[in-house]
Amino acid sequence: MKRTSRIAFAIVGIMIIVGFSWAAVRSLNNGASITNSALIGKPVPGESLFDIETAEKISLNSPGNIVVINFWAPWCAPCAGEHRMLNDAVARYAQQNVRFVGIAYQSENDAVTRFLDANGHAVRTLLDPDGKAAIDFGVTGPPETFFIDGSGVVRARVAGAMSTALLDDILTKLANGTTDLSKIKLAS
Amino acid sequence: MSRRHIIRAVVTALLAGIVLFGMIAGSSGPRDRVRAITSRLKCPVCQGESVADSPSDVSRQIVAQVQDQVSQGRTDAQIEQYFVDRYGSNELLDPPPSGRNLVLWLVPPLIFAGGVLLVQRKVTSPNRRRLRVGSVVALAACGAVLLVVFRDRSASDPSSAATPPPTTQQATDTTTRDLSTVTNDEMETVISQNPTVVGMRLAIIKRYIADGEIDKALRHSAVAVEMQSTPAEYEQALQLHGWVTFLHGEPASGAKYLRASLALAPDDRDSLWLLAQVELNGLKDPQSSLTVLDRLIGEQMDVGRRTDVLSLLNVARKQLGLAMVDLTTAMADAARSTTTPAVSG
Repeated sequence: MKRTSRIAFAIVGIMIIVGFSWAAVRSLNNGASITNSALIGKPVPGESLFDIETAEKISLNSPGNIVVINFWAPWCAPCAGEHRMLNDAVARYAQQNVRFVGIAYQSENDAVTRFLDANGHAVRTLLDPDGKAAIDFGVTGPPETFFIDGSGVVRARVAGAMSTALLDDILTKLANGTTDLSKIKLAS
Repeated sequence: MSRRHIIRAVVTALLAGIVLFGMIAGSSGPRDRVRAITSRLKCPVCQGESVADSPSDVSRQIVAQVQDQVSQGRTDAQIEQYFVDRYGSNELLDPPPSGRNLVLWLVPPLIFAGGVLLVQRKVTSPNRRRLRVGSVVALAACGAVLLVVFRDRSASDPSSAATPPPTTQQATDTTTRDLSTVTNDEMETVISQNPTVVGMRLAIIKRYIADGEIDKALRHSAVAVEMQSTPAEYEQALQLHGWVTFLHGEPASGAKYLRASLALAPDDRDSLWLLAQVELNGLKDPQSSLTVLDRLIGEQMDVGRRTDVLSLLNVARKQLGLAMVDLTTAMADAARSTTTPAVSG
């Protein structure tokens, strides 16, 4: 084999190794982050779900309000801390046009009730017994959170447990009219 | 050529024929369709496993969804698109052979062909002829497989559906049937066969808006506003096109069409409601939104809509530094109503 061919093969090999290493390092970053979703820029799926406490059927669309939809499960370890943070946020945003709703993902009602008793009831909790809502939102695993703007359009999806700073940052930007959150540096 | 060679060639051709026949003919019973579709969908919580092969809860729920949609008469392409619209194009195990994905499909046979040529150059002359024949057969088989793949893909594409186009009588039947019993695919077929049918085009725009398929809605609404139609249909086409262009990210254009719709029907509550939302949430103009909402609030409407209108009114008033309207009465009415309430508190 000629020397130039060897050098070319070596360069290609190094590039492949560097590429795989970069991808591996990125996948190890387990923190919550804004992630891509096929729903971004589209209207919130029109499914109505039952409230576990009032048995009312609730629409996820709330015109004029930003809606934070959090998919969680009692068996999901990071969900408990995030749920307590969201319960606190309900009080902090009570005077603003922000609504918080939790959707119990693949969970038994008893386990959901125990989870809410332990972590707070401020976030309105809806049931998704057949998993239709989770499929409609393209959920792959809890916790996942979707942000809907006042016109009912999905603007962001966060995979992983959010920090208070990330939640506040996204809500501030949405309230200011920012629609494309994917290109903006947010708090981690 | 010896007898043994002939037998080998015949057996090889028979086996290849059986494989190709199986790929082309396939089986199209409902259960087979569900199995085939879920085999092409990636389990969202697994590593490279299909929904059909995965025992996960999500996959079982997706299988149930696919069964539902198959029984509703939706095509394979429509069902796959339903999941792609929610999980993204990664939901398909085999990327569609179009656009950038075409490279993925073409690279393996090209590398194979390059390898064959490279080996041919290295082989000594006595074996070259035999190898050349083998190479041609291998490349032809490669091409045949690619053709079958592309054929399958285009057959499941609704724009080139294998089902025969409806006759004029069938089209008339479909337009006179209750639209709620007509599938999107049937509507698309009828519209393509009868492009001047305005009512069905408006109906499918509404469906696509409800399904969140804004690009498809826009494709029809852009045509609807250019068509010859009755004044009522034209007003509705302007209204729908205005809302669709807003959802598509063009609020200025959306407001323009909604105002044009209102010029034809100044008291249309739907147009007023949509324009108020576009003014406030799209154009960030609370004053104009408030003007529209003030017109709307005097109209008759159900409790759910009135609650939504009052909520939006308060958002606009808050942004303008005005006192908020008391929502208690409307909220109490909404709670008593059978109308589905929106998320609150």
